[in-house]
Formats: sequence, C-alpha cells, structure tokens
Amino acid sequence: MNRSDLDWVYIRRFTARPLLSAAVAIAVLAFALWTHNEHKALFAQLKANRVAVYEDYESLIAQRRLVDRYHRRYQQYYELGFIGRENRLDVVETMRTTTAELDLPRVSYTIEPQAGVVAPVTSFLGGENIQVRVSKLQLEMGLMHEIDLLRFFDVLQSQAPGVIKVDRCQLTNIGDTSGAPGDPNLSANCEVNIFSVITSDVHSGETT
Amino acid sequence: MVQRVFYVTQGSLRVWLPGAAGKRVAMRFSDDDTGLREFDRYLALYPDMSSAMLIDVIEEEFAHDSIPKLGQRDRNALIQRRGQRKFRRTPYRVSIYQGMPGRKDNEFGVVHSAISNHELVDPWLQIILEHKTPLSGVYSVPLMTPRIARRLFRCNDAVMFVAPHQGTKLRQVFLRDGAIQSARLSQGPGIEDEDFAKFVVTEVMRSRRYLDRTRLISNMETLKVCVVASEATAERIRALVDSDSADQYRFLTPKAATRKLGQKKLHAADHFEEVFLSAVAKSQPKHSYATAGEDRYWKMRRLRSAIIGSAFVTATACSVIAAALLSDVWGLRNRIATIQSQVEFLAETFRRENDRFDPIKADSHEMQLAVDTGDYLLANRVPVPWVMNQLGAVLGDYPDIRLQELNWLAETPPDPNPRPQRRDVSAPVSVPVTSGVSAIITADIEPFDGNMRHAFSRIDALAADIERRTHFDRANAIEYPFDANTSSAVSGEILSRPGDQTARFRLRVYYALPDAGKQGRDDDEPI
Repeated sequence: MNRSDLDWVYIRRFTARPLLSAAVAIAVLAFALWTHNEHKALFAQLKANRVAVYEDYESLIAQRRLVDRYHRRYQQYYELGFIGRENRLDVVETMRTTTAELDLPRVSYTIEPQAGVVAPVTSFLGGENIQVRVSKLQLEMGLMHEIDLLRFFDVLQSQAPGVIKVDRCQLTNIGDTSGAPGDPNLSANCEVNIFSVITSDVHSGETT
Repeated sequence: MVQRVFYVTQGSLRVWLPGAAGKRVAMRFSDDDTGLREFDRYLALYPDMSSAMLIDVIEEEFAHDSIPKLGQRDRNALIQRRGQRKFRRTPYRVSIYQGMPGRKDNEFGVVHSAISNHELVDPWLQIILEHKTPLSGVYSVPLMTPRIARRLFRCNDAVMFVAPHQGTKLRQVFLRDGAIQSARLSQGPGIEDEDFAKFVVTEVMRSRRYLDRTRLISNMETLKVCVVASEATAERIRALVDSDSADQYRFLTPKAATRKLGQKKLHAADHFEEVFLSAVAKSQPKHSYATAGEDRYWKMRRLRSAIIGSAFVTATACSVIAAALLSDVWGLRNRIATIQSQVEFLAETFRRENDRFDPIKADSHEMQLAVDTGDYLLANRVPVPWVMNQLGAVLGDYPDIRLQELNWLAETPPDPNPRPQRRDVSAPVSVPVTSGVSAIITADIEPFDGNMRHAFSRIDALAADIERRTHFDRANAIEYPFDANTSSAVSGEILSRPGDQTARFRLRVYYALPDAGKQGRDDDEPI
C-alpha cells in the first residue's frame, strides 16, 4: 500500500480522543518529572544543609564544652597578664615599686629582646594561630635578708604581667665584706623568663 | 479474527457471521441489481465490521510453471511477471512459490491461480470499498485446502481432497506433498441422492484423467482420494471402486472432520464450506487475491487501531509513571517539610547557643592551648620559696654553720637534638621540661676549732639531716674543708688561735620533681 492510498480521514476517525489523552498524559508526565526533579534537588540541598547545620551544632557543643572547662582559668591567665601582649613598662614599674616597698638597696635588670617559643602544647583540632613569647630577664639584687628575694618574686608574679619562671638563682652572702650600714648583706643573681601568649583575638585587637 | 465473512458463490453473496453463539448466515444477496442494491443498503448500516471474503466458484484456474534458481528479489519479480502473463485479464491472481524441484534440474515449481471471471467479484468489492469496509483479504477455498487437508488426513504425495459444497456441488482439490496443484468445483446431485457415490467416483476419475493429461500425475502413480462423506456414502463408493484401481480412497465423516479441526458441527453435511468459513473467521489465510488494494481499509483500520492502542498504552504508561512520580513527590514534600523544621530548629538552637558565646572572643581551642601552655609553664618552674623554706628549716638548727652562697637551678633532661653552636636569635626557643631542682650550698663552719674530724662529721650530719627532714632526695658533700683523698696534694696552716679559722664546705642537694612535665591542672585550681 502506497502513501497515496492512505485515507487520512478514515485513519483519523476515533483517534482524536486517544491521541489527546496521550498528549495530556505526556504533559502530566513531563510536569511530574519536572516537579519530581525540583523536589529531589530541593531535598538533596536541604539534606546537605541539615548535615552542615548538625556539624556546626556539634562543633559548637564541643567548643562550648571546651569553653565551659577552660574559660575560668583562661580568664585568670588573662587577668594575670599571661594572655596578651607583654607590657614591659608594667614589668619595670612593678620592679621599681617593689624595690621601693621592700627597701632593697639595689636592683639592676636586663631584659633581652622578646623571642618566640616553640609551643610546648599543641592540638590537631585547632589553635594553630596561638603565639607563645618569652622575654629573658637578668636580675642582680642587693638584699638585706633572704626573705626579701621571696617577697620580690611574689610581688613580681602577682603584679607584673606574664608568667614568671625562675630558672636559676645565685644567692651570695656579702655581709662580711661590706661594713657600711645600709649596705646589702646578700647579693642575688637570678635568671627569670617572662612568658606571654598571644591568641587570635589579641592579635586582631578584640582583646588587648 | 474477523467479525464477518462474505461467502461468494457463482450467483450470490452470503454474509456469514461467526460468533460465540455459533456460526450463522445472516443475509443472502443474489448476483443481480436487486441483490447488489440490498447489499449496498446492508453495508451502509454496518460498514465498520471487520470482514473477509471467501470465494468458492468454478471459475478459479490454476497454472503450473517452473522457474530457474534465482535470488529472492529476482524470483519474486519473475513470478509476478509470469503470473501476470498467464492471467492478464483478471486482477485477482496469486502465485505460490512451492520450492520443490521442477521437471528439470535447478528448476522450482510455481502455481499461478486466479479468479478467471473477475466480474463475479468486482461488483461486491466495489460496494465494499465504497463503504470503506475493512476487508482483510479475498480468499478462496482451494488455496485454503492444503492447511485443512493436512489436519484432516495427514497424507503426502498425490492427494485428491473431495468434499460436498453448497448442497449440490463437489469440491475437488489436488495436492502434492501438501501443496495445491489444481482444483475443480463440479455441479452434481445432492448427497442424499442415490447417484451421489457414483457421481463422486466419476468426478474423481475425470479429474484423474485431467491430471494425467496435464502431467501433474503419472499413469502408474497412486492417487490418494480423501473424501468427506457419511459412512453410508463411503460404503457405496467403496463398492463402486474397482479393486485394481490405482486410486486409494479414504473417508472421513463431516462430524469427525469438524471434531478434528476443533470446530462446531456443520449445519448440513453437504455444506463443508462452513469449515473454510470458520477457518477464515478464526485466522487470516496465507494467500489472498486482494493484491490491488482491496484490503487497504483493513490495513488502515489496523494502522488506526495501532495508533489508538499506542495512544492508550502511552497514556496509561505515562499516567502510571506520573502517578508514581507524583506520589514520590508527595513523599518528598513531607520529608522536605520535616527536614525544614529540623533545620529551622537546629539553626535556632545554634543561634541561641552562639549568642551565649558572644562575649567570648577567643577560639575555644586557642583557649585550651593558652591554658594548657600556662599550666605547663607553671608546672615546670622552680619553686623559689619552697627551696628556701626547705633549706632554711634545717640550717636554722645549725647555728655554727653560716651560709655563704646558695646557687640553685632548674634541672632539665638532656636535649636529644642539641642546638647548633651558633644560635639563631630569631629562631623560637623551646621550653624544656623541668625534671628537678638542684642547689649547691656553700657554707662555713664558724667558729672552727681546727678539729677536722669533728667538722667532717658535722657536715655529714647536716647532709643527712637535709635528706631526712626535707623533700630533697639527695644531699652530698661535694667539698670538705680538707681533701682527705690520698691521690691529691693537700696543704694547710695550723694557727695558734683556732677561733679565727673557718672550715668551708659545699653541699649539693637535688630534688626530683614527682610530676615532671605535668601539663594539666585541676580546672578550679588557682594559678
């Protein structure tokens, strides 16, 4: 049968409704496919969001636990002056006022340039921006009594900023060689390290 | 399967309706103007019923031909050309390639058949086409016989199939190896007539002579005559047939024939054409005379049915898939709503918790590291007051011993990676672990009476006392007022006034920190 033999009017009879139904069904299917894809994409996105928010929340809880545990002591170290930039003026001023209060005959000091310190404590969880610094302080003092040395370090630790670490001290009795009144009986030669820590908030200026 | 069969005979057309209730002849139209007009009116009422045409007329001719071995395309073209040449006056012709070897080597048999008097069919077909009635094909009884005979008799070689048709006619079809060779339709007495058996035998002999003449069968060859007849007729035929005859007769009753074919009983035993009508209605025969587009509305109807079917299948499939997808979308919407509420709840909780962090600027891990670093430094510093208090408590009980120098330092374990001698000032320094505190005490015994033995025992007593009463682990004299070692030289001065003499010695004390390098401290422990 050739194409010219086809009676299209005859073929078209009764086919309009089925074809229309098929077209409507295809349109509905296309709409359903589009809607399904849209919802699937939205679902995947929201699922990823939920995972991200979960992770953020868990991280926050972990941070919260750390802060709950360390915040009080952090505050204490902050008030001690250990956390923050080293303030040499305060150190020198503390030594001056302490010398005057204890009525020490003589105190001489040498503070070396501040140096970086290999952080003795590390963590793979973070905190890589933390900087530990040290300033070496050489002290030569004339003392009337041994107890003056203890008092001097007590005041220095409590009032001067930073953690004071005495590594070496030499206390020598010179009472016999000096005869004049008011002259020191003892001389002390000590090596002291003043440590400070700079955290990212100090670095960015949010905390001084 | 068709709904209606037009049975065309010599002078009429009968509309035959197969159905579940049984086959029946609905209408009969005579082959004249009146009959044609009635047929036209009938078709106008029922034009769309699927139909087929079965022709059972005398004017159906057969011609044998042989063709050489050719490719399929050339063979078909040659067969068509030969058929056209054989029966050029009628469009209702068909050529059947039988594939068996012909008379000569490499020749193959072809049977051309045709309705030689096309005017028997033309008027009916013209009306059918005018009404666009779907006609599946124009079939003939002889062309259908091989299939029917094969199921009834199961015989090969030369077979003559004989059956009563149209009440007073005898259909004879000659088959060889199951393929049609020739056919005849003879007018004769009815099957109830006493001469019917004689008529059958006579017609078979006449056909045999024709087949001999046309060399379709040889003189010596046995012809198997398969007759559909009642038992009584069969008995009469057997009685008439000469025992020396080359023909072998086999018989089958109409009832047994319909049972073998799985059809219902015939309305009348002399209308064996009903078997062919049922077969046409049931399935489409292979060979049709409708070669000039007579079946085009049938094809177009099938095309339309295919379109409707495809549309229905498409609509159904699309609807099912769309329903499944929309159902999934519904589920997704619920899950999305759940996730959205979870995300909102988490985000709100996160925001609230984060607000509580707001006053704290430092990162929690930095906070931990800063605190741990501070703890480490505090744990590794020399406790100056402790050293002095420990020593002062013991030395207070020894008024004759005067402390001249106290030198203490924090002991660190040996560095496994010693620094290069030229130290880089800018390089960061490390904070070693303090493993202990050592102190060297330089003191004089005053007054000293010159009694070295007493001085030695006094120094040893002091060292032992320090070890016993303080936390220092070890206290040893590293220098006595007098070096009693025999391997070294010694010199001294003995004065007349012993009170002016002093006995200097040096003690080394060591305290190993029990928790050397301890980093952690209790959270609430003051710094």
